[in-house]
Parts: sequence; C-alpha cells; structure tokens
Amino acid sequence: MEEKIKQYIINLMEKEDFESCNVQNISQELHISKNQITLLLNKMCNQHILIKIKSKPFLFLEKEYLERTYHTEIKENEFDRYEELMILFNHNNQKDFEKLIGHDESMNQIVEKVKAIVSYPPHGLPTLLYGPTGTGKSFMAKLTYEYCKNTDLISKDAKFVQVNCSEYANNPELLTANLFGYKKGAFTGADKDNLGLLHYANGGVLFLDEVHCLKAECQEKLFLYMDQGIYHLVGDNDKWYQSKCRIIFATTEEPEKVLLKTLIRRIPVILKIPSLSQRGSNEKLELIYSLYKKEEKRINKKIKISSNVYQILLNHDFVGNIGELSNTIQASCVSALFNSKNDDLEIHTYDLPDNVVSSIDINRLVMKKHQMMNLDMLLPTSKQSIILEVYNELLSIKKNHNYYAEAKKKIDDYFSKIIFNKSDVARTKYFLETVNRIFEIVTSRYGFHLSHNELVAIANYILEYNSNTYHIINWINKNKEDIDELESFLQSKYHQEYIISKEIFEYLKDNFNNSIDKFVQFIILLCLVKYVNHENNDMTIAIILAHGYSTASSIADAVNRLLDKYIFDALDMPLDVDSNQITKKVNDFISHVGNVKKVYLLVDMGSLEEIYQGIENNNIDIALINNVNTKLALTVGQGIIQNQPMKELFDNIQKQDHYNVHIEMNYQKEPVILCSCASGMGTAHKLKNIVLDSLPEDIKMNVIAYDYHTLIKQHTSDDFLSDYKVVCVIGTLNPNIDDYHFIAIEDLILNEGFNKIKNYFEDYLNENQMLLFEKNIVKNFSLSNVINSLTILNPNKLLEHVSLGIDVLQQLMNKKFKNQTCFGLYVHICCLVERLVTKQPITAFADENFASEHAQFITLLKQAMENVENYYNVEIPVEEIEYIFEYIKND
Amino acid sequence: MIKGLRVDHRLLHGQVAFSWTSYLEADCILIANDGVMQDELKKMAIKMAKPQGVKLVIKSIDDSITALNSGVTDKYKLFVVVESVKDAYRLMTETKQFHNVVLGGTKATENTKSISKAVNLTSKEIDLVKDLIAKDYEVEIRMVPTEKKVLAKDVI
Repeated sequence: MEEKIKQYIINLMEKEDFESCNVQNISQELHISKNQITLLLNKMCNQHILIKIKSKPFLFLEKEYLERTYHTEIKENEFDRYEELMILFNHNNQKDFEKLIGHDESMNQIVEKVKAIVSYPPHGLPTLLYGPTGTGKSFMAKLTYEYCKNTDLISKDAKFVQVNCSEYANNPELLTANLFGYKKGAFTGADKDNLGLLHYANGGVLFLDEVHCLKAECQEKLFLYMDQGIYHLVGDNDKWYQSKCRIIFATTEEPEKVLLKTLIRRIPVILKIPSLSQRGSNEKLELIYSLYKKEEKRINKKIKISSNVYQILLNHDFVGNIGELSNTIQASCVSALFNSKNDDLEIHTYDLPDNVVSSIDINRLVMKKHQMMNLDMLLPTSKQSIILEVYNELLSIKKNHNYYAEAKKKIDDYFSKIIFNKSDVARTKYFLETVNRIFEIVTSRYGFHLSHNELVAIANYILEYNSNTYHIINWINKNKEDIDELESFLQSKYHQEYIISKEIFEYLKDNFNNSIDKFVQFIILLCLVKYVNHENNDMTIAIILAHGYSTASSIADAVNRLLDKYIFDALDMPLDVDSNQITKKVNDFISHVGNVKKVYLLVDMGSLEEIYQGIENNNIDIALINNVNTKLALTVGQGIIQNQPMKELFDNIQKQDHYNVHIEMNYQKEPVILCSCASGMGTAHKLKNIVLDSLPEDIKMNVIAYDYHTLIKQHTSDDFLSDYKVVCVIGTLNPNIDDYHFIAIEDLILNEGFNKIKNYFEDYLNENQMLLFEKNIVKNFSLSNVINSLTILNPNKLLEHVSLGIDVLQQLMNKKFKNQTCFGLYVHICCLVERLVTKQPITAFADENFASEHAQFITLLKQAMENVENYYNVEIPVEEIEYIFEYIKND
Repeated sequence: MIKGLRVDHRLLHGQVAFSWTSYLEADCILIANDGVMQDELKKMAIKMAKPQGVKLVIKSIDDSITALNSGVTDKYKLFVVVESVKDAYRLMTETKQFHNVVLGGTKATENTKSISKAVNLTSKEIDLVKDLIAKDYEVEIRMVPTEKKVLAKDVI
C-alpha cells in the first residue's frame, strides 16, 4: 500500500503537479479513506520517505525524487512553506555570483563589469574594488575566482591567492619577498629558494586586499609584472620568471589619494562597492535573513526574531556594513542562546548590542506588545512589482482640478490588485495591525476613520514597498524634480491632508522602515481627501503663532483635538526671530494654502500692527489677537466652526477676558531633629549618629548636632534654623524654647518616654516606621555601649545576631520586653558571647534549683539563641542562662 | 555602711546590678568615675542598668572621696563600683571605709597580663594590688557572687 502511494506521488511530481499531492486528492484517486491516508502519509514522513509541506492544504512529496531532481540533500521532513523548500534548492544550486545577495539588483552592474573584465582576452584585466569596510570586497573577489573556474576561464586546479597587504605594513620587504619569491641567501633567514605567491597564483587569481598598505616600491615592482607578466625573484636579478594571473586589488581608501598614479593608470576599471545603506532595505532584509539562517544551521535551533529586532536591524545604520551586521546578528544569537530554554531561539531587543538598540525610539512604537516573527517573514514577497507603474502614472497626471479624481482611480485600481494578495497571512497581519494602530492614533484626532478595506490595502502596499526599495530608490533619484513638483502641488491643494498624512508618514517611518520615500505619503494623502471636510476650508484659515520650540504646535494640536476638527495651523518661532521674519513666514504660509479669504491670527506677544501691516494680500480679512492660550484658541475655533462673523467673535472675546488669580503658600520646610547636649558637642554628635542610624531608610528627616548654648541664645534669630521645621530637640537639658518639643535622652529608651516621642513624630513616621525607629534606637544605643566592652568580636555583627535572637525569644515567650530590658540583654549577651568565645564562662549557679525549676525557659532561650550559638560556635551554659533569666524576670 | 567595692571596666551592667546588689543587700549604688560625668550617653546606660528600688549615685572620684569621708553615705548600705584598680586604690587609701575589694572584670589590652578569666592588669596595676595586699587589704577576684572566692595574693 505504501509503495503504491509513493509511486502515485512520484507520478504526480514527474508531471510537476505538486499541488495534487494532498490528502484529499490521493484519497480520492487511490480509494482509501482520508483518515487512513493521513495516518499513512504521516507515518511515511516519519520514516523520511516523504516530506510534508504545511501549506494549505498540506502537501506530501517524495523525498528521494526531490533530492535527485534538485541535487540537494533534504534533512528536515517538514517545511512551513513551499518557498522554504525552494530556497533550500536554490541555495544549493547557486553558482558563484548567484550567491551574492543583490547580484540581480544593486550589485548587478558591478557583477556584469567584473565578468567582462576577467573574461577580457587573453588573461583578463586587473581591477580594483573600492568600498567601505565590511561591504564584501573579499567575498566579491572569491566569487570572481569561482566564476572564472565555472566558465573555464581558468583551469579547475588554478589557485585563489589572497594577500592582505596591511599585515605587512611594518615589513614591506617581507611582502615583496613573499610575493615575488626569493633566492636562497637573498637576506637573513632566506635559507632556501622560495618561488613566491605570484608563482602559486599562476593561471589563477591573485587578490591583493588593503592595497593602500602596499609600499610605493612594491607597487612599482608590480608594474613590470602587470605589463609583461615577468618578474625577478628577490636576490636574483638575472633570471626572468613568468606567471599569468588575474589580479584583483581592494581598498577602503580613496584610490586617487593612496595609490600611485602609475598604478591607477594600469587598472582600467575601478569598481565602487556600495555601502550597506546604499543597497536598499530589500537587500538588507535578505542579508539579515541569510545571516540568521546561517546561525540557525550552526546552532541547530529554529530562530525567531521579535518585531522590534526586525525593525532595529532594518533601520540601524551599520557603519561597518555587512561585517558589522553579521557581527551584530552573531552577537544577538550568542546572547539569546545563553538565555534560551527551549528548542527555539528567540532574539529579543535586549540581545542586541546597546548602540544598535538606540537607533529606534521606543516611545514612537505603536505596537506596545512586540511579536515574534519567523525568519521567512524577512523575505520579500515578490520581486516583480507594479508599484512603479502607479508612481509613474501619478507623476504624469496633469496637475489641475481633476488631479484627485484621476489619481484616486489609479490608486484604487492598484489597491484592488494587491488587496487579494494573501500570499503571506502572518506577515500581512503584523503590518495590518500596525497600520491600523497608526491610522487610529492619527485620524481619530481629526474625527474620521478609514474603511477596513482601505487599511488592508495600505498595509499590503507598504508590505509590497518593503521588497522594492532598491528599484524605487533609483527611480526616485531619477525623478526628483517631478516628485518635488508633485509634492508642492499636493501641499497647496490639500493642505490639511498634507499635514495629517505627514504625521502618519512619520509614524510609518518609525514603525517600519525609516527609508520609506515620500510617495507613501502622497498615496496616503490621496486616500484621506474624501474624509477631510472641505466646506469652509478654502476661505478661512486660523494660525497660531508663538515663540518657542513647539508652543504653537502644542496649542494647535490640543485645540484641534478638542474640536475634533482640523482648524488651527501652527507657526513655531525661534526665540530670536524678528518681526520681518514672522510676517514673511505668515505670508509664505498664506500663499502656500492659496485662495484664502479670511485669516485668524492668534499670536503670543509682540506688536500686532507690525504683523498685519506686513501681510501682503489686500483681499484678505485679517483678525488678530494676542495673548494666545488654549482657552482662547478654543473659543476662536468654535466661532469659526459656527461661522460667526469676525467682529462679533472678537468683541465677545474682548468682553470676557479676565484673569482669575489665586495664591496658595505651600512651601514645606524640611523637618529636622536637633541633638543638643549641655555637656558639649561630643555627646551631641554621638547622639546624632544614633538617631540618624535609627531612622528608617525611607524617611527624609535631617538630624543635626547643635550647640546647646547657641540654641538658647539665638533660637529665634538663627537663619540656619529658619529653613527647617524643628520636630524636636533631643538632649540632656531642656533648652526651654516654646516652639520646640524637647526629648530627654532617657525618654528615647525608656518605654514611658517613647510614647511621648510618638506624638511628635506622628506626621513623619507611620506606625511600622515608628516601631522600627524605636527598636533601632535601642539597638544603636546598645551598640555604642557594646563597642567599648568587646575586644575581639565585631560588635555590629554580633549585635545583629543577638538582637535577632532576642526578637525570636520575645515571639517564643509571646511577650514584648521593655526597651531597658532589651538594651540590658543586648549588651549582656554580646559580652557573654565574647566571654564564651574567649572561654571565660561563669560556672557557678546562684540558685542550685534553677535548671529544674526553669527548664522551659532554658529550652526557649536555647531555641532563640540557636543561630548565635551556631555562628560563634559556642554553647551558652545553663549557669549563664540563669543570669539572662534575671534580666527577663525583672522586666 | 559600705557593703562592697568592685572593680568592673563596664561599671554597672545588669549582671552586676542584679546579682551583686541583691547578694550584698545594698540599697544604694555609687558609681565613682571621672569619665562618666562627661558622657551623657554612658550615664544613661548606667541609669538603665539600675535595678528597681535601689538608689543610684554617680560621682567623680574626688567627689566620691569627699562624700565618703564626710559621712553622708553612712545611712546607706552602699555598693561602690569603679572602673579601674587605680580608682579603687585611691578610694581605699584616701578614705578609711574599705577593707576589701573585688576585682570583677577589666579589659584586656596590649599591656595587660591575664590574672584570671576576666581580670587583666598592667604591671603598674599589679604593683598597686601588691601594695594594697601589703597594706593588709583583702583583694579578691570574683565575677559573680556565687563563684568561688579567689584571693589575689594567691595568683599574683
């Protein structure tokens, strides 16, 4: 049965009827149920007899037949798209220049010229490849060599000899010796004859890279060889050697500047290799695709890239060209591989180097949630495009009142052709969602929405555009003048549409491809025309004129949105602009719009007379008002919409105009705690440190040590203190200042005292912070005592351990100790631990019966101090526990 | 009436306050020390260690000697605590109130020699102790009251 199926599929394939190799058809023809045939087909796939193509419907093809026909080994048994399979075949069948991405586009002319040069009889001509670093000059040379072999210009065993002259930059003699060969004894180290690279390259191709590093003497030596094909070995000026090879030079520097005139004269053709950015985004995408594919093969994982990565790679200007692009892609794979958890490798923005990521403005992206894309989404859908026809037609239509009707018809025709192009659903979906978002953001502000079909068409159009960049760039450069003319025509005729479409256009650039050309904007503009209301636009315009980077645009934008209508245009003026320039700007604007009957000018400040006297056309009504603000613009806008007469509108505004003023003093002084001790600044500083260290971290409160006597003498007139709100004074003696609360040091620790403090601090600390503060005070205060008593242990660490232990003990005993008790316990246990560490425990009981009477307490304490005991590797003896018990008993 | 004189570099801490005060049945503790008078924080630490129902007095050495000699302290059952052997020596030799002294704890430093688990003395202090022993005072070493009494003359 399986053999029968296989044979049937092969038959179909021989007829090139691949499409019939689906379940439906095979089941019908062979009279087997669909279920059964599906099972069998899948089984044969797993046995690598068939391969499955997951198109709609799934296709099943015979593997060996394909491998035979296309001379290509197929490793996978599943392909997402038929095209993927074809790429595999094409890739393996590609010969020499076909491997070069862009060989039929941007690199086409170069390839053709290289072919002509190397074919020039009898041994080709030397050529120079000149282009920035990373553009693929070495690759080009390698392909040239392959081409020569494939076309029998050189024999199959001819060699490709590559010399990087920069490696010899410090030792030009060595290069000369290696290139031309040398006789034994020609120089130190020449212990045998060496025939040189020219000899090895005989009959093949010699590639001299970075030729600008070649010293003048060596260049001259080459001339004779280039002219006559003969040379001397170094150290032997008698004998002539012969060699015939095709020479390819390459350099990143401008040839006229770095090479001898006499060398350049001998190179009939210099080929300029374009930089990556000159090659258009289509080729860039193909490069990105093929570079990722290469990595995919290498790491044997399926790679997906996020839509943001796609955009960044597409829009970043790689100064190091393909070389840098390749490094970036490799780096992104390394980074992603490091983080990868499953079989797929997902490349995210954070996998890209920082300098590359910074090339897009994340804030401008409309799709907040990025999407993962399969690599094949990078590939262009089709290379044949009808878009240039449309562009040509749009340029050639006469620019008169009929322009819109005719142009729109062409565009609609074009749209109807591409809207049914559903070749690539996943990719279209991504483009469509983004286009949708952008139009929604922009057009909703102007109160209209495009139809769904139109948006689908625009998305398809932009998708199409991505795959045509190189041709379009050429075409646009050729027709620059006509395009400029069309632009100014559209701008004056459809002023508002121009503004709106420009906004959309900017979004498109930020979200797809920042090299999109202006034609996209024109087409969008023409799509907008029918949505924008033209009733009174041709007679009234309103301009907001304000100083500052974007003051006018911001007001205009806000008001247009509030009015849900495009009413105001904005002229932003630099701060140093003079009134002549302003009037010129206004005049230019009015003449640009054309056919204006009424102008409303809302300005921020400056002389109104100067402006209206400067306006040129006398046939225009002008209404001017200064002190523009959002509310004023809104009122004027509403008036314009209601067709209110100019005078009436402005009279009303003048009547209403008044300011409401309200002042509220809200400046908050910073809170401060003063630490002040009658016994001097020493104690005050110590106290300050304890308080400061005890305040919870997120509390912004100043703590200052302050001289007690100064405080008493000049508390009211002290400039320094007038900047602060004094929360309290902490110290030994009450300075008795009316406005200041006083806290005695004892009160800080003794529980009764601390309750008072809570009142003073309630505005600044919440309950939890207050508890923490209280606990820290006791702890830090204990620390200052512990420090003096310990000799070997680190007091900070020890106290930390002990205080945690005491916390546990309080929990276990379900009791909160007084601060005094905590303090005592902290200090005592710290000293105790040091005594134990230094082996000085107390070994006598005060009460012989302690161990039996208080067994429970001993257990609890042991439990609470477990960590301390472990950390310091000590054991608290029962005799010592008895003394600890004393503290708690007295609590 | 003097109940006891103790040398403890930490002066009054809970252990001393609780165990010794009750063991000696003292009702007043005199801290005789010059440094504490200057340091409010230290003073406060001492105040906190004081057991309830016992009076606490802090005086400089000079003032302490004056007070002890004047007789104002006679009405108390007095427990005197000093920081160092030197201070103890002054109190003992400049008043006629003391017959014995307990060395409770002194801090180990570079120049001290360990006399017992908790007592470390410099050679100068050892001389002072020897002098006291020679003058027929009893000098004992004891951390807590329940420990065995060790006489200094046996270990020096």
